Amino acid sequence: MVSAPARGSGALRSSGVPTAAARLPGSVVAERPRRDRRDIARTALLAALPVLSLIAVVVGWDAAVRLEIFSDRLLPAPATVVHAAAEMYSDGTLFADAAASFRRALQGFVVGSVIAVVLGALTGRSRIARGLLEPVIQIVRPIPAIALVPLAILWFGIGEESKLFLTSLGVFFPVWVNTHAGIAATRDDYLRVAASLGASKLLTFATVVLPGALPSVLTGLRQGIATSLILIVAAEQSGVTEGLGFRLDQARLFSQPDRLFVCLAALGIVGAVADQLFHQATRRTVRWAKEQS
Amino acid sequence: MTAGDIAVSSLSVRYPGSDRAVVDGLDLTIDSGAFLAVLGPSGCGKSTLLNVIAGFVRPTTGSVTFGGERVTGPGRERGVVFQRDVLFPWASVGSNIGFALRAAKVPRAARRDRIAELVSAVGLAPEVIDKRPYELSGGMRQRIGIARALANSPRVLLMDEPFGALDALTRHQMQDLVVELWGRTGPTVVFVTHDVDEAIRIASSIVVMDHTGAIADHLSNPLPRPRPASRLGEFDDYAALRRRLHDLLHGQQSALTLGERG
Repeated sequence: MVSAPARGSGALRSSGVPTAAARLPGSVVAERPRRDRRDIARTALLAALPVLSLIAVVVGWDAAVRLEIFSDRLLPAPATVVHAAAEMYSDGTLFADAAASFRRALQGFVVGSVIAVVLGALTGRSRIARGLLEPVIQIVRPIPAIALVPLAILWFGIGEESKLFLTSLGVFFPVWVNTHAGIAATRDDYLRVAASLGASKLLTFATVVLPGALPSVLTGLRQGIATSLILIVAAEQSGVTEGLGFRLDQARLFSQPDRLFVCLAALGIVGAVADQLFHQATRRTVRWAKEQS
Repeated sequence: MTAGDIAVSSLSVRYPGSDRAVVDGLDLTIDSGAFLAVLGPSGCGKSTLLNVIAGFVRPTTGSVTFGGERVTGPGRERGVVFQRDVLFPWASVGSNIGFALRAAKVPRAARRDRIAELVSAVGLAPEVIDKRPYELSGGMRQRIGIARALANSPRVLLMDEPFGALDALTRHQMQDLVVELWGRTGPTVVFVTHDVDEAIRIASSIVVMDHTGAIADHLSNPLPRPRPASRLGEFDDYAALRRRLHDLLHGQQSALTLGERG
């Protein structure tokens, strides 16, 4: 955008040099500034759209409360929620709850992802491992992780272990499926190149199979981040005194919709920040896949 | 038989689930240092023959020996240049070329020198070393594919229609490059192509495969080198050799078409 005026006739006009193209009303050069202004306006509009959308939601929400379409016991006004957020922030509960949930989600994500990547690599490369593991994984996979909450409590009690078990299990499946698919899809000609150049199986795996599967593995990990946050809320409904899931349940029990909305917003923000941090940290490593397609 | 000879004996290859042998009873000896072009109609088993010599495909019956030893799998003494460029897109050009050297545990500094030497040998500027394959043209990528195949200084270079996807000018430049590398470093070259002029231009001998996957004829190329693409028609024996190859190929193509119909 910055260079646009210099390229167009605007620069010529400012230098005071009249050209034939600039004088012709229908010429391509004479039309350029108008197109550039349209580009700037379109870019500015696109940049403003997310902000406008958020403002529209808040204004609509506020109007719905003011017009008493919803009772403020069900839907508190935005200002009330902001006030509750400030209160929770100043008494330290908001940060402590978000940090506790994030820590639990991260632990589950790390444990589930490591196991899933290792097993996905095995089932993706080895027919024996696939024969042994795939049927078991495929049978367990359709069971929603939330349905395993009672089993997790029965096996591990209501403490941290059951939370770790649930989130790890939930994270495991999307990461395993994507790792398995990415590794199993390694191109034969890449493997032939590696073999003809004298590469060992280990070098081939580390420098050909894994990098080739990385876009798929990262997709799985990104899904795993979202899953870990969903499950941690379910897992925190019992057996803890800290965490956004716990605070949500408390807000429901004590009919505090303003606090409930603060927790929901905090969950949304934690999820979006975690997702974007992961995406930004990893996108350069798989740029080749985008460039190739 | 010298140490570098490739001997293909009674080779037959039938892929699982297929009722027809792709290569059937093929016998061929390739002398060390030869530049052999393999011509044939589509589907006659040219690439399969190359893949068996490379060790990618196992013979159903018969055998391939290299320097007297039976070929049982891929090996670093047989470099391969593929039909389409198969550079690792996630790795830099330097890492692609240096892959073989890394596999051979060549120290990093020596690897860097060898990569620079290979890049220069295939006519590219040193700046490409840090680039990614997707940043380069098709011709440049194929040059890097050749450099990568040459990294181990293989005794045989197996090339499977490597320039088929390139434009005419780039193809001619690449043909010159391969002939120059062959003359300079002296590996045996087995070059699969379906282009008669390409075979005449670069090879010292030409094998024509028939539709049954056997050898229809094995001709030596009498044209002196260099053989500029624009002046190929001026060579005395060019027209006769070209006609002979076309006759052989058209005969095979008709037989293949009739076979498919039958």
